[in-house]
Amino acid sequence: MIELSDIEKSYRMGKNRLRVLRGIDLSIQAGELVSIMGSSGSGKSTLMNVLGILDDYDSGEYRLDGTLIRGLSETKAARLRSRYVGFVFQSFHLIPFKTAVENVALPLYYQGVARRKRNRRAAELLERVGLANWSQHLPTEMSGGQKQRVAIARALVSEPKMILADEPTGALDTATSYEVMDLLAEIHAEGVTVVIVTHEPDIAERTRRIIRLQDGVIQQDSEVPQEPALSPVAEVTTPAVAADPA
Amino acid sequence: MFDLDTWQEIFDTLRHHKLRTALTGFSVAWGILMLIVLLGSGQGLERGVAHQFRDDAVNSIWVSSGKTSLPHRGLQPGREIQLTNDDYDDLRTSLPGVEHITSRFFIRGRNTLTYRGETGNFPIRSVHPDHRHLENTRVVLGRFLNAIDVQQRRKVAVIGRIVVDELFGARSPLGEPLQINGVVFQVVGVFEDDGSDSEMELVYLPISTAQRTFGGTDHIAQLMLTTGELDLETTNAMAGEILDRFSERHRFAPEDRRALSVSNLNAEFQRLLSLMDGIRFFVWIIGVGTLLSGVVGVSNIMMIAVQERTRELGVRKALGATPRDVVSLVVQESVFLTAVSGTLGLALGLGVLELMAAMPAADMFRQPGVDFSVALYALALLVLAGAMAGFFPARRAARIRPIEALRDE
Repeated sequence: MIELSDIEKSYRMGKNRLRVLRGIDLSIQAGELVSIMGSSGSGKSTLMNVLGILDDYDSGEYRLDGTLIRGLSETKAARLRSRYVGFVFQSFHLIPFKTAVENVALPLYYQGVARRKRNRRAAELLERVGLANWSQHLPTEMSGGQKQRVAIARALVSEPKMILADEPTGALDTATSYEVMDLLAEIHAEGVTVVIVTHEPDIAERTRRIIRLQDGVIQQDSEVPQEPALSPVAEVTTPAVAADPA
Repeated sequence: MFDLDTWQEIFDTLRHHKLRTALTGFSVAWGILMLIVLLGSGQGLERGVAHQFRDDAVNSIWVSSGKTSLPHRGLQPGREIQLTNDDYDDLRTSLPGVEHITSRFFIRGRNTLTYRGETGNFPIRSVHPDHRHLENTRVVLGRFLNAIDVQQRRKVAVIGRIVVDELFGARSPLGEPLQINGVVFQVVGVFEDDGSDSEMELVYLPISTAQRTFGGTDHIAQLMLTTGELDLETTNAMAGEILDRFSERHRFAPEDRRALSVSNLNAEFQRLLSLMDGIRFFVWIIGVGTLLSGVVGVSNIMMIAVQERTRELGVRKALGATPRDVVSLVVQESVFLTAVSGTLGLALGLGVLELMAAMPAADMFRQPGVDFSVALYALALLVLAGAMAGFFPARRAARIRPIEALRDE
């Protein structure tokens, strides 16, 4: 699904170049649930932008579902984005003057889907995230958790191969955060690749694989041991994660 | 490109930015409104001035005679100079530059007109057919005098609207016998004059008929001729030529202003033309200025609007909008807004002009009106400006990578 080899990226800061990604090799298979962790400045947001075709990179190779993503025009990038990637942002980024259902339907508008069809599809997805009764509400009338669920519905509406979530729980309280994570886990269970960028260990813990980034390189790439849901030994696995300095 | 969905998007955005929409709409509508009112008033002023000078300032030369005041070649001053048909014939046949020429003969005493017992006193002008070009006489019924009337000394008359009203009432005067000082004339035409009512009290007769019937002479009182498109210098030369010829024939000193008055109205005419040009120029300068300030206003608001929406446009891009989608959204929005409010301003402006036109005409201001195509051009220009004002900032916004637009910091 995602193949990164030796990705480098630097930003120009006045006369200096700030190397943000310094040779990333990473492979994510279709259907994985992955979290990318790292402190601020580790390059995790940049990596996410590269993955989401929101930003270009300087050298290396990024293949998304076999397609080489490099030096694309904005128009081409937009096409690929709308076909492969659904975004979820920390601050939701819903369009404030559109109702929930209109927000969810927007990606389909840019894919040229007919109005009736996309509204039906958006309504389905709102129902799926448990907001069927909120479809005609504006984002300003909703709680943070509800907004994020609308955003997730919007990310899903175009049936992307991959959901990219940038700190999806960053603006939410713990209980709501877990609800959102459960929703993302459900989506993953349906076969969608989910990549979550976070700095919260307990959020990362709820994924299957954790990729730790430090100073622009992958420091650690580990599976999260999965225990049978009802196993009382669940706590045993936690120290491996808790030992993380983050 | 303009499908229902696009409209929906446009309406959504406009509805949710009411203040901005209102301000942009207002500045466009106001600009067009002011422009229309200005152009219309300019025209009103122009027509008012033209009306004021309508009788005095035509491209013509007027000749009339008086008494000599200077001795000349042994002749005493105080001698009466009398113009005759010979003078008319001379100018008509051999003076270069003459466009239309006529002479006038006045009938002495009161002129009593009678038709079937109805009687009235009206002034009479005995003229050549070309006279109508000097007074802008507009024939509304029948015909004006013609060359054959003059040649055959026909007893025909062309009468003004007021004469018709007073003597004929509702009856058509065409072909009717009209007694003028006891002599029967046949009415062949009725005229109106845009200038003033007193012009419409006139009766025109063929000059030859009047000379024979009422005076038995070949005298004429006045000679008038128009000079067409000739410039001031040429017409001044013509006036000099007339003075030279007449002083030779009638034996008076060329510098004797009392003996013969040759007034060249072209000078006034030129002054009027340049006054008109001045008004037109002034109106255009202000009009262009008004339009320009409208354009600047629209550009300003659109620029701020796009800046304000950078994040929203970034979200749209992350959701799959191409740069083209983003640019066309903003441009269509701004074109739609300027077109609608511009049309509104146009309609309002035309309404204001209607109101102004309905008020009684003042001395220097009448019949304000606007060239509709000019108004449409102005509207198109403003819409174009609106499109550009949307296009450039939108293109810049579309180039920004979505991450920059979406950055939380």
